[in-house]
Amino acid sequence: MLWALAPTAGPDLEAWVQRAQGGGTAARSAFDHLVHTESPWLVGYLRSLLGDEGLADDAAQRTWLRAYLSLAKLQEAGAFRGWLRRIATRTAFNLRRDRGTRERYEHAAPQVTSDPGHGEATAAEDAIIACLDQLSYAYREILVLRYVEDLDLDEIQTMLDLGPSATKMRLKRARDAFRAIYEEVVDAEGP
Amino acid sequence: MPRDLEPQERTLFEAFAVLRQRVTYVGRSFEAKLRERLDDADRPRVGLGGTLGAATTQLLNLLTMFAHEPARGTDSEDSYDP
Repeated sequence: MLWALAPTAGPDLEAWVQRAQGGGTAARSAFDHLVHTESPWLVGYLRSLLGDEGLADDAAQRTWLRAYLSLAKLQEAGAFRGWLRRIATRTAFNLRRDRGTRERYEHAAPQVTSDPGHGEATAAEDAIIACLDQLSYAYREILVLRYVEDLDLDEIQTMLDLGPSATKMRLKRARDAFRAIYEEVVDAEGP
Repeated sequence: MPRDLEPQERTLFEAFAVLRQRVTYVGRSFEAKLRERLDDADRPRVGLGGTLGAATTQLLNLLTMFAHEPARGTDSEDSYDP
């Protein structure tokens, strides 16, 4: 098992990325190291986005494979995490769009789970996930990017290939939709 | 926290803290499976020429096989009615 929270991107990460961009077995070892250290946040992000462990793991595998094949094209090693997130976002979108794949996983895989043991946090987390599950994928995606991944609006608009006003509008609508559902869920659960 | 977070977003941002702090575990099987896929990607591929060459050889083999087999329906054996 690997520890999960994303380490802060820094010179160390940059050095590993540059090493992975080199050649030969050293590059492959460096890439394996990146997989080891970066997978927890990547998989966590994809699980928030897709709401399904099996599908998220598959998306993470595809993301890494794509990253491996195109790492040489990444010009700024320091931009690795944003670049990887962008690949993951597109991969998730495409995978989600593939209804056949999605349905297969929905029947086969358990829903998102997290560290068992922090009861109250898990209940709150479950409530949020239950609300996200009821939103359209576009709304879920923008809420996760903003409030889970902590991205600024300009980063989100680049990620989603939207204009500034379309980004703000989508975020506002997503927020409103989420709030409406959240209130229903909280009311239903009672005090 | 996003640098441009607006006041009306703060409540929602705080509500999502449980997801931000969530601990995600990635099993070793994930890495093992990925390593296999990366190894596959590293393996040299037979180029288009090689693939076409192999297909052509197979086609020639099939043609040769049929050339030695009598065509059905026209052969005396098939049309023979005692």
